[in-house]
Amino acid sequence: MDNKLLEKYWNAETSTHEEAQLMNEMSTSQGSDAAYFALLAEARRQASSLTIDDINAYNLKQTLNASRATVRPIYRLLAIAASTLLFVTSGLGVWKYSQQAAQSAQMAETFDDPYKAYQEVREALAFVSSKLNKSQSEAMINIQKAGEYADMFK
Amino acid sequence: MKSIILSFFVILTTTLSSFAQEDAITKYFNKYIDDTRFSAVYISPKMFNMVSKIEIKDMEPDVQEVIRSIKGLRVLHTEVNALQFYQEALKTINTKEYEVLLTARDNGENVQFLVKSSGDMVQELLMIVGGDKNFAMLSFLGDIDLKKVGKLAKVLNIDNLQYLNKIEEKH
Repeated sequence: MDNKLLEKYWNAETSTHEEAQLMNEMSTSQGSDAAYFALLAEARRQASSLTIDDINAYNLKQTLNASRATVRPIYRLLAIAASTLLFVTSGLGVWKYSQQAAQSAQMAETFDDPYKAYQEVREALAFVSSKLNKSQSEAMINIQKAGEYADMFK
Repeated sequence: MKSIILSFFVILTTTLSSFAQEDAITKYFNKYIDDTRFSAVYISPKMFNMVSKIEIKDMEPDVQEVIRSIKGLRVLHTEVNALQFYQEALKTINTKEYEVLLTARDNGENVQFLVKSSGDMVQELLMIVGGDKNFAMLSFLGDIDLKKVGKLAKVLNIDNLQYLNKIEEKH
């Protein structure tokens, strides 16, 4: 290997022909300088196969990647969870609504006239109220009886 | 991460169970509403809204107040296999949903008052009456004050014992 030529190369004084000669020599050599020239040769080889379209596509991709917000995995999971919950809730809401619609269809209004409805409610309330009072009295008697029985065992 | 996934499933399960919780009484009413052995009454919230707006000269203020708090009424009554239907109704009730308020026997009939409440408010008052001759189920929906309902017996001058017979005749 021509060390003078290598020194000339590092001083950026070689011609294109000399540089080609040096690279040719380095391709059969080993060492850190040879590794550098091997990398340089590979880079040039790859660069020579690239077209303008490839470069433009690469630049566009880089721009898009840079502009795209980075989504952390936890937020992605939360988003999936929220979407699933929303989907399930919406589905169940629709189902519940259809059930209610079916229910109201089955339970038809008994009265068309609010006065008749009022009369019915009044009677129903009187009935419930009466039973409620009687049941309360009954319960009070039972509590008293229970108290009396409890006293017997004292 | 695990806790977040766990929380998500807890929320999902809770949501699903609350939706899936079955209103057993509605199911029971729906089951027998078209059965010819039963007489049924249904007064919707819309009708209650109309009732609360009508002007009735002799409407007692206490009655008016209670009616305004009610949003719906369902009544189911039969004289056929009364005791059997009473027992079926008791089995149908979801004990997690309803709380037993009072249980008594009145003239050979079993009477149960059940409530569905949220905090201090009773959202549903369910009365089930069952004996050899009668089975009746009355469900009042709304924001019900039991004290006010209890006072109505004194205010309303109606032959209460004949109420179920009246339903039978009317429907």
